[in-house]
Parts: sequence; structure tokens; C-alpha cells
Amino acid sequence: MDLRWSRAEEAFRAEARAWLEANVPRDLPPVHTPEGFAAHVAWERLLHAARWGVVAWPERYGGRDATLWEWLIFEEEYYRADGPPRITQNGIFLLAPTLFEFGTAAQQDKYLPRMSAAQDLWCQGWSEPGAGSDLAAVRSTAVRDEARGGWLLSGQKTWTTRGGFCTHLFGLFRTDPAAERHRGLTYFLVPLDTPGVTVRCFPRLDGDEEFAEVFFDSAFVPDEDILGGLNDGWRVAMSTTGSERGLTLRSPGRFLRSADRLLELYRERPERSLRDQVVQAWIDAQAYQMFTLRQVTAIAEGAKPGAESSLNKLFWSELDLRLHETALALLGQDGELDGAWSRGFLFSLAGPIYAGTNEIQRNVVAERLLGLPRKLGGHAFRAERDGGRAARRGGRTAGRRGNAGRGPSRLA
Amino acid sequence: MAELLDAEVTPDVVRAGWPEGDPALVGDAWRKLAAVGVTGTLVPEDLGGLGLDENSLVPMLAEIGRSGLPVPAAETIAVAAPLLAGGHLPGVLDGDTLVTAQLGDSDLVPFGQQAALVVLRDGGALRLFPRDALVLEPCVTTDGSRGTARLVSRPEARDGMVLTDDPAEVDGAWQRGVLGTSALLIGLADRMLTLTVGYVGQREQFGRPIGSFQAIKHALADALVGVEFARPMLLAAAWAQSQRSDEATARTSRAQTSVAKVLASDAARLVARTAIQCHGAIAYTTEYDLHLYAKQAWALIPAWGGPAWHRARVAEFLGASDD
Amino acid sequence: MEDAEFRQHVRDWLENQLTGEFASLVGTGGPGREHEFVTERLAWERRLGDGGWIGLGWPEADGGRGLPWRQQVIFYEEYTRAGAPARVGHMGEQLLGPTLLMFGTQEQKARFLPGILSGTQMWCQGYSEPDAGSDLAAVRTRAVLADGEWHLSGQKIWTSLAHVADWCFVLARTDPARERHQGLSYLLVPMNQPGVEIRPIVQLTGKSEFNEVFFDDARAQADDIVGAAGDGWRVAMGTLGVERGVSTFGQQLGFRREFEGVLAAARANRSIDDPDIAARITDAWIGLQVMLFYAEATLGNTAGTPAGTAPGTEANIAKLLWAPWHQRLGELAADVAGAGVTVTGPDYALSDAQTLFLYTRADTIYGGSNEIQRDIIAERGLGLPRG
Repeated sequence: MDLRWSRAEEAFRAEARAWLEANVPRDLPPVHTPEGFAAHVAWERLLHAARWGVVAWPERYGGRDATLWEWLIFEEEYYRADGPPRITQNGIFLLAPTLFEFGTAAQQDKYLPRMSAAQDLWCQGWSEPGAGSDLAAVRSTAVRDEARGGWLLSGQKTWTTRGGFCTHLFGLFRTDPAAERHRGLTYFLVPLDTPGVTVRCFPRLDGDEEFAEVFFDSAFVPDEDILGGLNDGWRVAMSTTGSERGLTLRSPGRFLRSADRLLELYRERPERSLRDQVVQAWIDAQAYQMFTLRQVTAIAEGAKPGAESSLNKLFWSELDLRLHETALALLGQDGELDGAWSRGFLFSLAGPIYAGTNEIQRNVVAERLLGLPRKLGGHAFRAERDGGRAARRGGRTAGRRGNAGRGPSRLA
Repeated sequence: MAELLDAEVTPDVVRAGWPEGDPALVGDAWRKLAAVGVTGTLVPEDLGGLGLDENSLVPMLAEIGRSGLPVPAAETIAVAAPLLAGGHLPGVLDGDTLVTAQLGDSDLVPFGQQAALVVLRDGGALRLFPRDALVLEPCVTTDGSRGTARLVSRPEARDGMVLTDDPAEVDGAWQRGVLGTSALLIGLADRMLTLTVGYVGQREQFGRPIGSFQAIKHALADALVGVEFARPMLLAAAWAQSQRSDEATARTSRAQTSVAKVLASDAARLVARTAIQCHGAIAYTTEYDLHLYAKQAWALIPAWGGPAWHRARVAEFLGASDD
Repeated sequence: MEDAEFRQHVRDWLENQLTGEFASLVGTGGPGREHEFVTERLAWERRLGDGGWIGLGWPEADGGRGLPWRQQVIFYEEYTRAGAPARVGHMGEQLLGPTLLMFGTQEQKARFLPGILSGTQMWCQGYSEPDAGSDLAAVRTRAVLADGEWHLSGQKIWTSLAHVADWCFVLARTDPARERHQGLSYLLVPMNQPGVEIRPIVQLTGKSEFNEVFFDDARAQADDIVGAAGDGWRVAMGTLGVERGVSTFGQQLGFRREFEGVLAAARANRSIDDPDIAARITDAWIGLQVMLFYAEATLGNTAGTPAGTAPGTEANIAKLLWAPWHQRLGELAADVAGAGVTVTGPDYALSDAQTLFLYTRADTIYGGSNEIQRDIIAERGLGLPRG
């Protein structure tokens, strides 16, 4: 254990801090307004030009080949400087890790530079009206168009953050109608100006108006815009989901900054009965940082977070909610006014829901990390246990068999 | 070490620490640990120890906590042994001489019924007292294996030997005690969680293992989150303690140590409650092993400063205290 | 009698009776303390019986006093205020008695109700088994009718007060061809016979309040079955609905006393000056008000429930309110007591705070665990689909 930053890392931090201090714009209009959106795009382009947009990426894609540690440092400094929300985040934090892992060289060369330059803005096409927590129930289809060498997408995606402003969508579509559930799905990269694609926005609780439904009516996508293999979409998507829950989407810097702001708020409005909650928020932000540092150490040594990312998600989403509840309590009557805290509170309500609800996360923790039995009906359970291991769940069975024998993997 | 503890510290050995049990079983296990150097973790090599620093405390004591061995592990390994030299040290290192400590305001001395030596705070110094220099009244405690004794009156300073009167060393000893206790708590939490996961995986009701019910899964998932997010903070506090060199670094390590104690205590409390709930009625009996570990945890939570006390220390550190 | 007059009558009687041999019983018994003064409290049961204070709400024709539930509540209030000892006969009065009123034959009522009303016959409940806890329908204790007698074999567990009970009402499987809720019967079994063996189980508190009960060719009379053979589940569920009625209200008055004890302790040792302790005490008081008002608001619903109709989910909600509340009170009591709470009296004699802390670990488990209550509320109360 060594919690010292190296001299190079300290220098990196100093450089990032200085640049951010000099360049972070103040008082941008809200991102969901046209002026605001344009301003946020301009900010992304500025970050990109200075190579601060995607620090851990290779240089040829717009990064500066920074280490994961340096990325963590940049994130910390970014939040410390109250940097604006990153409208590129779905692309750079969710799609990009998947592109790096599963994309062809051609796909990486085509999409990554435009992504980091905010020329393409990506949104995530996961959920559908009939497929939320149960993502494997996806019904949007992709029908083969042999003549043109591609697929015709039909169906509907929903809860698409910033869908109204984005240029591209990555999503799961069913390419094998004979296959059920998570089999027969394919991961597509789709420009939103493709003929047959319609985006319809609707407003959110926190006032954001760019939440969208996206309709597909035989929209053509060529073969080369399949990420990963045909009908292998679930596996590819799970890689994205791992990023979403865990580290890349919510770095500790965000909560360290929020806890500091909460402390400042407490000093302005000390309410003794709330002091413990304020202190606990700071403690929890520290705990999240330490947990992340340990996780990053493991990743740097080649480990994959896997199901552990569900621990991240549970922790940061509940921390964020508690932290904002405490802030509102400190604000008292003023809490009803629109402002950073009240908007932050509203958004924090979504935390336990997006990126996989916390109920799902707890299931994952219990089943994959603690090795508890999957939910099956009584008779079905006994049949399985007593030797009828018919592949009811396909590829999942193998992993589960392993778990059942080994017991809880976290507690060795 | 985990294998050694699994083999030597069975639940029967933990029960042996209770009044009706045979204390020799506990002593034997302790001596076996001592034989591989556990007691001398922080003692310099030239004095017969392992010569390690605070960074090794957490994994070591977490394992001992997990075993439930009823001994003053934090007091001996983290606090007293590094301060001893000469006379008493060999006996402590061998596990023959039990040493405990009470550096806080309480007059309750853990394992005061068995310990041959007791470290007490006397003004700005830490003093070592042989038990016959003290008036100790045995207490019966909820955790029957804790062997607590009440210090009936403060002893004469001259009856004890000064271990240190250097404020930085005294502070360091206190911090190590807090951290060591936090590590024991995490270990106990691990033990209770493992026991529960095993139980709910095989206990059937309504035709299926109760661990397949979401209510059980979610409760245990929350318990795991608490433990897993406390653990790295303990390591961070240990590292901070190992880096203490001046008042500023000592202040930081004190705050981080307080954070560690809060997180470990909250995690252990949640795990204990969850473990009992998930077991159902059987956890409420003394025949089943769970209560052995839960009671140790409940005793350690208020020891070396409880969660409320440590949160107040963190509040001071953050400048959020008006006290 | 008017309510005010009735209250005074109860108060006077209790004041007169809790003297002499019974004076030392004030504040004794109860959860975590069932081991206290058992012999004396059995005598107290008989005294209550003599005074006509058992079965207040039972119809007069069945030996009760037919009092409206308001006055039953008044009795509980005064009983609690006087610190009268916790009841040993509650299973007969609160569970078996009302069951007989609902489902029993005239002969059964004539045989068994007088013993309950006089406080001379004690009952225990034979429901749970090692493999049938939350899943009560998994009961396996067998009863076979032969030679004019039921022959029971099997095992019950968590049986409170089995060691002082004269009788046990047992849920047993009488039709081996049927499964789960079907084929069960509600039998009345005398405890004092060779085929019944009681083994105490020690709790976290170091005491034994409940037991295992082994039936090895134990006998019950052929007629000592409540309801028809195979109808046991319905009869037992009828009991459970009643369990959570007026008697729970009495329990909550006990909670008020416990809360006042914690408040007094916090004032005495100044821990109340700590804003966090003060906040938790305030929350505890608020929770108490919520429970008491909820009990009053819903008491009419459950107490007046006609025989055989399914109660609503008020009782389940009530349990879900009080069990976590009580558990938190236990934790608060321990924190108020401070570090010294780990120290007991001689021979593991527990203080109020310690008992409250340890005993309340079980609150969210017995009488239907929190998880079961939530399922019932969700499925029966809110109409959500079964899992």
C-alpha cells in the first residue's frame, strides 16, 4: 500500500489544475437549451484541442496516453474546478471502452477521433418500453438486407439521455428472431440521421428536455457498423454495463467535490442535528475514493472489475442521494428554490434507477459475488440441483455451476 | 495465517473463552499464533519480532477477528508489544504473558480477568502495571468471552513502569489501538457474513433455499457493500499511520483512523443485524455459533471510542464542530 | 359501567392486589424476562382469574364479561400503568380461547374455557418446527387416530413457556396424502404425559424462554380437535389474526413504559445533552405516537372481526411498525447506557438496557418475520402478484 502520488503524477495534477482554472467556463446556460448545448459543445472542443478531453486515450484518438491514475487525478481536478457536465460522456465513458475492447481497427479509427472531438455525440439505445431492468427482453429487430450488405432496424428505444441533441446511437437489436432473451442480440452503431429514425423528446423531473424516445422504421445500417460479432451483442453490452456502473461513469472526484460543497453549506448554515450526516457524507466519499484506488490498482494489474462494479454503483448512487437529502435539509425553506442543490437532488433520485436499478445490482452482488442461489421455482430448483442441468438459461449455466461449487468469492 | 486460524480457532475454541469453557484451549491457540510471530508483528526484528509496520496490522488483525479468538489482540499486538522491551517482551512474544490496555476514560479493562499486564494512561504517559498492583473486579459481560474487569481505583503511578511519555508515541499507540480494533471488527463482519451466506444457501423454506429470495439477497448485498467500502479505508488509515512524522501528518492519520473506526463499526453492526435476521430464530439461540461473533462485535463497537465519538473527531478535523 | 368508573374500578383492584406476596411482582416478566418469578406469576394468574379479569371481551354466555373493546383497552392501560407482571396465561387467553370461541364445539368450550378464565390452566403454542418456520405449511408432526386417541409423533420448536404449560394446541398433519396447507389438524394435547418431552433452548439473553417439544407417541383424545380433521390451517390462521388484535395494543403500552425508561436513563446520565441522542429519542417518541394512534384507529377493524373472516393487513402493518421501532429502541437504550452496557450483573443478569437490546434482535423475526409481513402487505394488502 502506498498512497503517495509520484512526482510525475503531482506534476500532471498541477498542469491539469492550472489549465482548468484558466479555462473552465462559468455560468453556462443549462445543457438542455439550444444556447446551452452549443456552449457545452464548444467546451468539449476546447478540451479536445488541449488534449484534456480523453486523457487516458492514445494520442492518435485525441488523448495523451495518460495512465488510469492520471485519469483519476484529472477527474478529481475537473470536479474540483466545477467543470461543466460532459455531454460526450455516453460516448467516451460507455461506448469507448467497448470500442477499445471489441471494435475493429477500422471502427476505432472511424469513430474515436470524432467522438473525442465532439463531432459525433453518442446516446445509448438500451431500454425499450417492454425492456427496462429486463434488458434481455429487448424486442427491436434487425432484419438482414443481403442486397445492401446490412440490416434494417425496426422498433423503439426509450429513456435515451440527451437523445434530442445526439448524432449517433449505440444499441441492442434482435438479429435472430428464433433466439430468445439475451441470445440473438447484436450491438449496432447507428447515425441518428439515418432515414427511418425519428427522435421524440420528453421532459424529465429535473427539467431536462432532451430525454428521448427513438423510433426505428426499417433504418438501414451496414455490416461494418456491428460492434463485436453477430448475435454476440449481449456479451459486448455487458462490457459497457460494467463501465457504466462502476468506475468510468462516476469517479470519486465527483463525490469528493459534492461532500466538500456540503461541508461549505454546513458552515454557512450549521444545524447541529444534521452534523453527523454531513460528516458521514464526507466519510463515505473518502471510502469511495479508497475503494476506487484499490480497484484501479487491480485493473492496472490486469484484473477485470466484473460484478464488483455493482458494488460501486450501489454505493455511489445511495451516497449521492443521502448527500443531497442532507443538503436540502440544511437549506430548509430555501431548498424549494431552484438551484444547484435542488437540481442535484432531483437528479440523484435517478441514481438508484439508471445504469441498472439498485435492485438488480443487489441481485448481482448476492448471486455473483456472494454465490447465493438464483431465483427458481421450487420444483425447478430441485430438478436443477439434482442433475437435470438442461440449458434453460443457455450460456449462463456454466458460470452459475462454477459459483455454486465455489461459494462466496468475495470472502476468501 | 488464515489456514492456521481456521484449523486452530474453531467455534469450540471461541466458546472455551466463555465462563463455562476451558481457557487452556484459548491459550493454546494463542501460543500457536505467537509461534509464527503474530504477537511480534510490530516489534523490531532484533528484539524477536517480525519488524513490520502499521500496514501489516490490518490484514493480521482482520484474520484474528474473523477467527473470533477471544484474546486482547489489538491491545497486545498493536498497542503494547511495540512499546515493550527487555523483561516482559519474550513472554508476550511467546504468548505466555497476556497484556491488555485501557487508554480511554473507561474503567473497564478488556481481558482484565486474565491478563498478567495492563497498560494504562497516566497523565501524558503510558504505564505498564502487573495485575497485582491493580484492584480489578471481574465483570460479567454480554460478550462472555471478553473477560472484562473493572479497575476499582486508579493505581499508584510508581507501581507501574513508564513505557513512554513522548506525546507522539502515546498518540501513536492510541491510533494503533483504534485501528487494530477496527480491523477486528471487519474480520468479525466477514465471519458473520460468511456464516450467513452459507446458511441461506442451504436452509429451505417454501421449497427452495431462502437465499434465493430477493429480500434475503438484497439485505446481504447491502451488508457486503458496508464491509467492502470500509476495508480500503482501514488500509488507508494504516498507511497514514505509517507515514506519521509530524503533527500535521499525525492529525491526518488520526482523522483517517477515526473514519476507519466509524466505517468498521457501522459495517459490523449492519452485518450483525442482517445476519440474525437472515438466520431467523436459530440465530437467537446460544447453541448456534452466530451470537459468539455478534457479541464480540457489539463489545468492540463502543471500545476505543464509539462511532459517535469518532464522528465528532472527524467533525473537528473538518472544522465543522462548534464544540 | 361507564368508562371512567370502570377505569377507577380496575385501578383500585390492582392497587389492592399488588401488595403483600404480589408486591414484588411489579415490573417482572415479559419479553426477555419470562424466567422471572414464574411460580409467583402463576399464582397471580389465579388471582386475576378469581377477580374475573380474564376474558374480558368474551361473550358472557361463554364465561366472559362481554366488555366493549374500549374497556378492554382501559384495562390494559391500567394494568401497564400499575406495572402488573407480564402474563403467563396469554396464550390461553389471547390465542386458544378466541379460537375455541370461533371454531370450538360447545363441549370443547365447556371443557377448556373455564380453566383459562380461572387462570388455572396454562397453554403453549405448538406451531413452528425445525423445517417449518416462516413456511408453516411445511409442518410434519404427524397425528394418527387409533383406538379412540390421536397418536402424535414429531417435534415443535421455539415453544414459549412449554415448561409451565398444562396443554398445547398443536398444528399437526393428520392426512399424509395431502400436502402443505391441506391435511392439517388443530389438536389439543396435554403436556404432562410420558410421550411429551421438553428441552429448553438458551437464548442470546442467556436465559431459556422457549423450548423444543418432542412428541413420541403422545396422546390426545379423539374429540380434542378444533374444527374438522384437515381443517387445521384455517383454524390456525384464525388464531393468528386474533393474535395481533387487542393484545398487541397492550404490548404497545408496555413499549411506552420502556421508552420512558430509556428517556429517564438518558436524562439521568446526561446523554440526552448529546444532540444525536436527543434526536433519536425524539424519533422514538414520534414512532410511539404513530403506533399508538394506528392501533387505536384500526382496533375497531380487528377486534370486531366476525369469526372466520380474513383480517385485513392492519395487523401486519402494525407488526412492521413496532418490530423495527422496538429494535431501534433497543439500540438507543444500549447507546444511552454507553460503554458500560457490555457489563452485566452477576450470572449474566441483564439490565433493562441490555435486555432491551438483546431481546429486540428477535422482534423482526418472531410472530412473522419482517420479510413475511412485507410479502403479506404487498400481496394481500396491495394486490401485487405473488413471487
